[in-house]
Formats: sequence, structure tokens, C-alpha cells
Amino acid sequence: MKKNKPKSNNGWKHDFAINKSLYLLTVPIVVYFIIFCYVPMFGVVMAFQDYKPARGILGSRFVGFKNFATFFGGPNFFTLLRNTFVINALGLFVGFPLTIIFALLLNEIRLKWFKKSVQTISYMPYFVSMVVIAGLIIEFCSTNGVVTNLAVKLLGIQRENLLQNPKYFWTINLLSDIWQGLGYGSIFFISAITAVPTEQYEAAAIDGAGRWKRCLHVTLPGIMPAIVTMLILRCGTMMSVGGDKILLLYNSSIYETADVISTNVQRMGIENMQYGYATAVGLFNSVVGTTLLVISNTLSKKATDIGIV
Amino acid sequence: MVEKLKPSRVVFNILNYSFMIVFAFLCIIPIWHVTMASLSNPRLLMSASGIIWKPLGEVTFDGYKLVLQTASVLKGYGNTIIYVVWNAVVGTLITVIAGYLVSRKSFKLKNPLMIFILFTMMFSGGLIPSYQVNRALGLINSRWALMIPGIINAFYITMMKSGFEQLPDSYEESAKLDGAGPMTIMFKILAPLVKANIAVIAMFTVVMHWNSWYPASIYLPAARDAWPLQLIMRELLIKNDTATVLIATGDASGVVNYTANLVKYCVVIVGTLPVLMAYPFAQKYFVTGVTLGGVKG
Amino acid sequence: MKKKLVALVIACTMIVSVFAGCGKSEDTGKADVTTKAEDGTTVSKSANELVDDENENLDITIWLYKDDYKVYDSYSENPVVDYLNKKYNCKLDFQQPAMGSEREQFSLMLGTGSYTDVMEVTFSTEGVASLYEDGIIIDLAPYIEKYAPNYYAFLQAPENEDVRKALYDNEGRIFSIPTGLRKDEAYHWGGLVYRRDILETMTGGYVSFPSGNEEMTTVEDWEYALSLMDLYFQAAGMTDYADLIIPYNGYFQTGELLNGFDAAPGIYVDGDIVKFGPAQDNFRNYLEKMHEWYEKGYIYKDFASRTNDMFYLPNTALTYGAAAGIWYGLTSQLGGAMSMPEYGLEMTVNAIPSPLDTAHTDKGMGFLSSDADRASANTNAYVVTKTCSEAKLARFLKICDFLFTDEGMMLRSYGLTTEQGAADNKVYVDAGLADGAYTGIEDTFKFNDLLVPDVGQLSIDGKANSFYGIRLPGLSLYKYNNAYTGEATKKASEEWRKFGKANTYPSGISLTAEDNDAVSSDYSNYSDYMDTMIPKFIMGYEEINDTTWANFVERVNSLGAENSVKIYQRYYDEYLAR
Repeated sequence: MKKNKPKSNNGWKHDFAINKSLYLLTVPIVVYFIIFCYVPMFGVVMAFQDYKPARGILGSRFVGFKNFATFFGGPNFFTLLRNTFVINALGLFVGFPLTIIFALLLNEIRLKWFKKSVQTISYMPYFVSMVVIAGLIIEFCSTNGVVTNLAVKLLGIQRENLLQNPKYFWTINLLSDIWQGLGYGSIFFISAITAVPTEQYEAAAIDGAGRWKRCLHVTLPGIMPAIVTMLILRCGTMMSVGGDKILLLYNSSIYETADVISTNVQRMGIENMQYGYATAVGLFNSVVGTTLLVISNTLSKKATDIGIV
Repeated sequence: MVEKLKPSRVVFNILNYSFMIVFAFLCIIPIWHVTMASLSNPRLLMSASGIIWKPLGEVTFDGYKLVLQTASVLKGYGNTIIYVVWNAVVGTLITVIAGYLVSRKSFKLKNPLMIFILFTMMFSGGLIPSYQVNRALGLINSRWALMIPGIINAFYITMMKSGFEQLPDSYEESAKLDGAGPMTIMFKILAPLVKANIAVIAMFTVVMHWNSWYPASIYLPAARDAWPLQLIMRELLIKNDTATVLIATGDASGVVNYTANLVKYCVVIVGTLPVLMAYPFAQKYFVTGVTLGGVKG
Repeated sequence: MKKKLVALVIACTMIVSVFAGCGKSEDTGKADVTTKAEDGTTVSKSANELVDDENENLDITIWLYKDDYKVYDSYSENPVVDYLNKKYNCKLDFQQPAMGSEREQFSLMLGTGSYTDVMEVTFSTEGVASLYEDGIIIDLAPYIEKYAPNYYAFLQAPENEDVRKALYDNEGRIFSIPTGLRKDEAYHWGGLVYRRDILETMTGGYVSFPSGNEEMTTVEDWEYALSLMDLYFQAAGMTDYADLIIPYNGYFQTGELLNGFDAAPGIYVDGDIVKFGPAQDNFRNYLEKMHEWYEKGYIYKDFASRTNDMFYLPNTALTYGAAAGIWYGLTSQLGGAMSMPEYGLEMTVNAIPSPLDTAHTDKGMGFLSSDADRASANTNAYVVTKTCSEAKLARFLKICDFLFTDEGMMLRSYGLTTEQGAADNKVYVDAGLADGAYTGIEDTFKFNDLLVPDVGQLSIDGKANSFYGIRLPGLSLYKYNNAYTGEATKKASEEWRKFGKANTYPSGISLTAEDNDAVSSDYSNYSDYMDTMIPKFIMGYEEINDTTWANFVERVNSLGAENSVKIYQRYYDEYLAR
């Protein structure tokens, strides 16, 4: 029997041969990331230095983990950590599902013009700029403000400025996040819904599935990759986002529930130009974020076979 | 498809529509408030509180006059359009290519490349090393500083990847059987199927670059001709900051010029309205139900 | 094949575009490096002789923050700068950051090592002493006497001892040339004011303060006034009003209100001893009184939350809305300036000093932080960096020296006259000032009609800083401007300065880098804590009793106040000995 030597199917050469243009395209992308992302990463070393703008990165004194010690040993470290996690968790477990639900609800609207108008209007708060939204919220929560009045009448709480009492901040922040971000956050899911092939709906209808069942068994699984991707990305970037909004909304009398890691660093590190400290905290955030990313990615792959890596 | 309208369906519809109406009302409040405020009498505006439902006093266009007559507002618009279009077109193109690369199952570099890209999203060196890199490349005070460094975004690449992965493998396989190369597959076959995804990413890019002023303030301090609109608006805002204005101004009759107070609101409108128009364009691509064709089984 | 070509082309375009600007790296501020190579960086050594050929046109780069110049964008186009360029055969090239990003740009400039020849240090986070230690700027002491004799004479004059002490360090080094050192009196631009008309209305014109004085002086006077104001607003049916507006953190960092309680908002001096205000018992008296007033509804209920709101500043919204009784106001608000005749509202606003807490003290605190201009000479000043060549240093010193003469002072403070070339300067001509910004001197001094200051307008850079040179180093003269200051402003200034400034810590003293770091981070820590606790005390979320007060003091001290006091004491002792 003549044996033909089988062509190797797994080698790099083979892959390169069939995917040559892919490899070629990879090159500029990699070059871009190296120049603009990996080269500047050497700045991370500032986290371990007593960085002085005057001395630059090469000239500043190396202090090991001193910046981290300052951060972990700071008077409010645990409060900051708690606040950061609580506020982000609320956003993830309440805000995030709501964007999906909103997209699904919007999908059920049949009147085309109504749907389009609501869609457009719903993301306007996101565009109008955080400063305006924050201003309105501060206004509404003042001692005689609209929201305060409502809360006093409906919930019977004591009349006071809601943003001067620490216990209300988490709720106010969550509600305002939803107000501002629901419309914009659902865009990705709305577009994912449109990618679900109509044939699947038709097939399900033929099988006797009503609207609700179709939504549960066709739409939701159909956008599951989008949901999972977004969820994992949010877990990963959780530590570093959200600071701007809080910075505009909070005030010193409610630091105990409103101060998060990024706002604290803004006050202590950046305003005093303590770059070393700010970089150290940024590094901490990156490490935690990456850990969360890896964990959520692994978990989701185990559960749904979808992940981003 | 004929469907019987069940009572529960009707109830659901009523609730859904009502909720949407209420929600839309809540969402339109901020922009309505700012528009009305920008047209109000500034003196009354200074002491007003709460939502402004209609212009206070008589309608005044003075605020807009002040903003639009600022030198370089038009240039700012022009520059922003350049940056936005460049980043939306070239950036989205590169994002699509990158998303395609990291979603090809047979590509050996798929996972390493993804990790390589994701890592840059998580870790960053900060402002100073980035500034030094850009300076070494000669980008300081050049328009390219806003067109090259920010052009690829790892977050969007990930979104694009998930879009490609949503598509069944059968497309690529049947195309390969027909003898198509990777480029054909990407542009001619798969991309049209993820049009919605691409439109979303393009829109996000547009919004991000429309609103951006920080990189320009750092990299273009002297190149005023290349400033995007938002940076010019921000400068205008600082110059007309009420506190500063009150200390310094006054004309012969002792009446303080309050128009500066309107600037805050007019700046928001002038800087935001155009981009609000961007979404309807992208909406075209959110057509429900992409029909399959050409692939069986 | 075609597809592969397309792929290749795309790939190449992307790579090329990445390197697009690579070749242009030569023209970003490298000029000073080449001149440095010419002359060598031997500026700070023994050779006090600087070679400067007057026929050589030098390009001196200067870092300066931006203002709203109205008629031009860069300070390089300022007419006085133009005059100096012609007179000294140089080109003053101002490099300015985008407004709002000054601190970041300054730190970036330092961090990347691309300094300009000269820098204005208002936005530096480090003091000049640290900048010197880090080797960025040079010591000017060897050169001042010879190249800037007028400046030197100014420093040595006995009436300028405060400035001399602030600028020279213990080793006899001096680094800065201040901007806008006042040669004469300037008036205060802001302080506590109240609505007199409310009291008049409520008492039918018979205002009688418990202290028996014409104006409000004591805490009892204030309580009398506040209760009347409260009744007034309630009778008018207003819900959003404030009898007294205080800052978001519950106290004025400039010392208002606290002065009357013989308390200070921060570091102050009591004779020879440096103390920390919020840790003293009198501060507790202040807090208790504020809490009492808050409970009675006299203090603006939302004072703590209105910090970041760009659209609603209580100090503008409430005051201009005729909904405030007492607030921190400006000279432009005095008298009837805020009346709205078209709405039938006549307001009369008077200036008052801090209320004296007669129950606990009879003298008050002399803390006046906004008036320390002369002694803060080190913070608003120009310094010379090590990249500046010898020739440029000499030239720059000559220019600065000129700005310390009478002629230079007038140029800085009031602008160009016809003799100085007003008719040749484009900016002046376009603005209709071809006849010069002013004419005459002393008794014959007369402003150009277009530039006459308004009554009550204090700052000489208010109306038209495009025409003067007040951002340059040198002396400022307020005399002619002061002539237009109304009586109300002069009187207000007196009231606001009633307690004097004997207890103010000299603000021009420059710390070493290490000490500066220590007090900065101390300040971050304890001020954060204070900002949280003080509003809580005032609003009643935290009770004020012996235990809580003792805890507060102990915590503030342990967060760094005690440490800072020790450091400041050391520098103060040295200062006194100089």
C-alpha cells in the first residue's frame, strides 16, 4: 500500500499559508498597540516611585511599595473599598439587567414611529452632559426639591436635603445612573436583538410559542453573547468608571457613603499632583479589574460556553 | 402572521406604552430645561430654581449670539467634524478588522491577540508616559495627536468580536468552499450581517470623539486652529464663569452684564445638538430581522 | 490576488500613518537646547559676569497661564510686551496652556523636561525652594545686584522687609521675581455683607442693634438681624431663601465669621507661637453657635450640597434673587447695585465685619488670608530655569529691572502713552486708543475716556487687561485706580479689615520639598476630615459635646495637624530670626 504522507494540518506554516492576509493585518494592529499602549506602560513604574514632576520618571526615587502602603493604610481605606464595591454592584445587578429589560420591552413596541422616538429620546440624558444632570439632581434633592417632596409624602421620611444625609446616596446615585444611562446602555442590546434571525421567531411561533415564550426562548438566547460580553467587560472596567458622576454629585458631608476610590484619588492624588500615589492606586484598580475579568470570563465560559477570551 | 389579541397582551401593551411615555418624559426633561434656560432672561435665570419649563421673562438670543460669535467656534465645528469622521470611518474599519481577526476560530493567533488587546484595556501607564511617546513622535500641537493615538479601542473590538461570533459558522464554511479568501469573507459576507453592530460601534465612536476635549487640552495647547469644538466651549465656559465675571465687569451705568450667565446653557446646546442627530442615521441599520439567504441547513 | 493586494495596502497605510508625524519632532521647543549648547549651562556658578550682546535679538520662551485677553489670544501679542520687545531687542515668546488645564500642563512640562527659559509659577504644585532643589531653576542672588539694580534696591529698602524676608531663604538665595507687587494700598474686593433694606422694612426705619452701634458688630446684633430677616422672608411666602449663606464645608477659609469668635480656619500665629485654629476651644464656640443658628433656620438649609453645581451657586442665585440676608459679597454689590427697579425691588447692601462673640472674647482674631499679597511674592512670580542661556538671563533681568522702575510700573499698571508708541501699536489703534491709555502724571493724570474705571470696580485688570501688562513681573500701582473707588468701597474695606492681620501666618515662606510634601499630605488628610465633620456638627447629624469635641480635636491632630504645626513653627522661628 502506498502511503501518502499526510500534509500537516496543525502547523504554523499551514496556518500562515491559508490565513496569510490575516497575519498581515495583525501586524499594524499589533504595532499600534505596542507604540501607544505598551510603550507608555513603562510609566507604571511611577507607582513604585516618589515621583516628582521635576525629576521625571528616570530621576525619581524608588520607594518600593510605599505608595501602596499609604493607600492601604489610609484613614478611610475600607470605607472607600466598601463604597466602590457597593456602588458598582448596584449598578451591575440592578442597572445592567434594566438595560436589557428596557431593550426587550422596546422590542415589543409595534408602532414604528413611537419606538423610534422613544429610542431617540431615551438616550438624550446621556448626551446632555453630566454636569447638567448632576445639577438637576442636586436641585431635586434639596430640602424643598421635587424628589424630596415626593419622598416625604410617599415614604414619610423626615424632610431634609437628601444629599446631605449619607444613607440616601447609594439610592440616589443608582436612580440617577438609570435615568442617565438606561437609554444609551440599551443601544447595544437593541442592535443585538435585530441580529436575531426572523426565521427563528417564525419557527417558534409555528411551534405554538406566544410572545412571552418567544421572548424568553428566542430573543434572550439570541442576544446572550452580547449580554455576556457586556457583563464581562463591565466587571473588568468596574473599578475605574463612574468617578466623574460621583465627583459632580457628592459633597464632603456624605463622604462616608459617597467617596469611592477614584474620587478619593482625585482629591488626594491628582489635585496635589502626587502622581506616584495616583499611579499606584490605578495599578491596584487594574489588578483588581483584571482579576474580576478573568473570574467572570471563566465562570461564563463554564456556564454558557461564551466568553471574551 | 395572524395573532389573536389576548387580554393579557392588551394589558401588557398598555403598561408598556405608558411606561415608555413616562420614561421618555423623564428623559426629555434635562434637554428641555437647558434649552428653555438658554433662552431666558439672564437676570431672572440667576435666581431661578427648579426645572425651567418655559423661557423666563422674554426670549433672549443674546446668549447664543455671544457663543456663536466667539472666534473659532466655526473652526471648532470644522475640526470636530474632521476628527469625528476620521475616527468613525478609519477607527471603525480597523475595529471591524480586529474584531474579525479575533473571532476566526481557525486563526492560531486568535486568543493570543485577544489577550494582547485586552491587556491594554486593563493596564495603562498614565498621562506622562503617553505624553512623552506622543512628543517623541512629533504629534504635539499637531492634528494627528487626536487622530492616531485614540483610534483603536479595545472595548469596541470586544463588542465587534461578540457580533461576529453570533453568526453561525456555516457562512464562513460555505464561503470557503466557494473559494473565497479571508478578505472577501470579511467584507463581502460577514460584515453586512453585523451591520447593526458596526453601526452601534460607529455611533459610540462618534459620540466619544464629539464629546472629547481632554486630549486636545493636553496635546494641542498652542495649536488653537486645530481645537475641537468642546475645548473651545470649555474655554468659553471658564472665561464666562459667573464668579469671575461678577468680580471684574461692570459698565458705566453700574449694571452687571448678566449675559455671561446664559453661556453655560447655550454652550450645552451648541455642543450637543448636532450629535443628537447622529442616532437617527445609525437607526437605519437597526432593521429588525436580518433575512438569511443563500445558506441552507 | 487583488484582495491580498488590498490587504497589503491597508496594512502599509496603517503603518505609515502611525509614523506620520515622526519627522516633525524638531520644532517643538528645541531652540533653547541649541542655545544652551552654545553658551553652556554654567549659569549658576562662580562667574557672575554674563555676556550679553545688545545687538543680538534673543528669543526668550516664557511659560504663563492664560487669561481672557479679549482682543487677542496669546500674551505674546500684548502691547506692553511689544514695547519691551522693541526696547530690548528681543522676542518674549509666551507659551500658554489651554485654560483649565494649567496645573496639569505645568506638571507635564516639568515631567518631560522640556522647560521654557522662564516660568511663571502660580500653578506649580511645588514651592520655588523645591524647584531649586530638584535642579530646575537657578539662584538669582549672584546676579541681581549687578543686572537688576532697581529690583535689588527695592528689596533692600526697609519698608519692603516683609517681601525681602519672604523671598530670600536662609542661605541668602533668591529665586523669584514677583508679579504685581503692590507699591501702594489696594482695597479688599469681598467680605460679609447684608441687606440693610430688610431691617429697615421690618422695623419701619428704626433699626436698633443690641450693641447700640450703628452697624452690626456683635453676635447678638446678628441674631437680632437674622430673626428679622427670617420673618421677612417667611412673610413674603418664600420657600427657597437663606438668612445666612455659609460655604459648603461650614466655615470660611478666609477667616470670615471665625474672626469674631477669635478662631481661625487653619494655621495661624499667636505672637511667636504657631497654632492650629480648628483645634482650639474657640472653634467649638463657633460650631455651637452655627448649630444653634441652623436649628433656628437662619442658615441656608442646603449649604453642604451645593458645591459642584455649576448651574446654581447659592451666592449668585439667592443673592440676586433677593432671597438672601447675609452673605459673602463683592464690592460691586454694595449700595443699591443689586436693586431691580423693574420688579419694584430696592435693595441696600452694607458691608460688615465678622460678628464679635462677646460671650467668650473681646478682641477677635487677626486672620486675613486674602490680603497677604505682598508676602506671597514667591507664589506669583517668575523664575529662571536652567535651560536659559547666560545672554537670555542677562536680558531678562534687565527687562525685569525696568519693570521695577517708575516708568515700568506705569507701563505695567496702566499701559502705553502716545510717547511710548500707542499710535503704532495695532491693538491700541484697533481699540480706538491711539491717543494712549492715559495722559499726564500725578495730578495731571487722566485716563483715556474709553478706559475710565467704574465706581466700585477694584481690579485694574477688570475691564481691559488686554492693554496693560499686569501679568509681567514688576510693581503695580493702584493709586489712580483707587481714585475711582467709591466711598462705599473704601468703607467696606475698612470694615472687612477690622480685625487686622496680626495673626496671619506669613504666606510667602517657601518650604523644602520634603516638608512641603509632608504638610500637603497632612492637609489633604485633616481637611478632608474637617470638611466631613464640620457640616455634620452644624447640621446636627453629630452632637457637639465634650466627648465628641475631644474626639474631633484628637483625630484632627493625629491626621497631621500637629505635625504640620511643628514644621511651620520651625520655619516661623527662622523667619523671625532673618
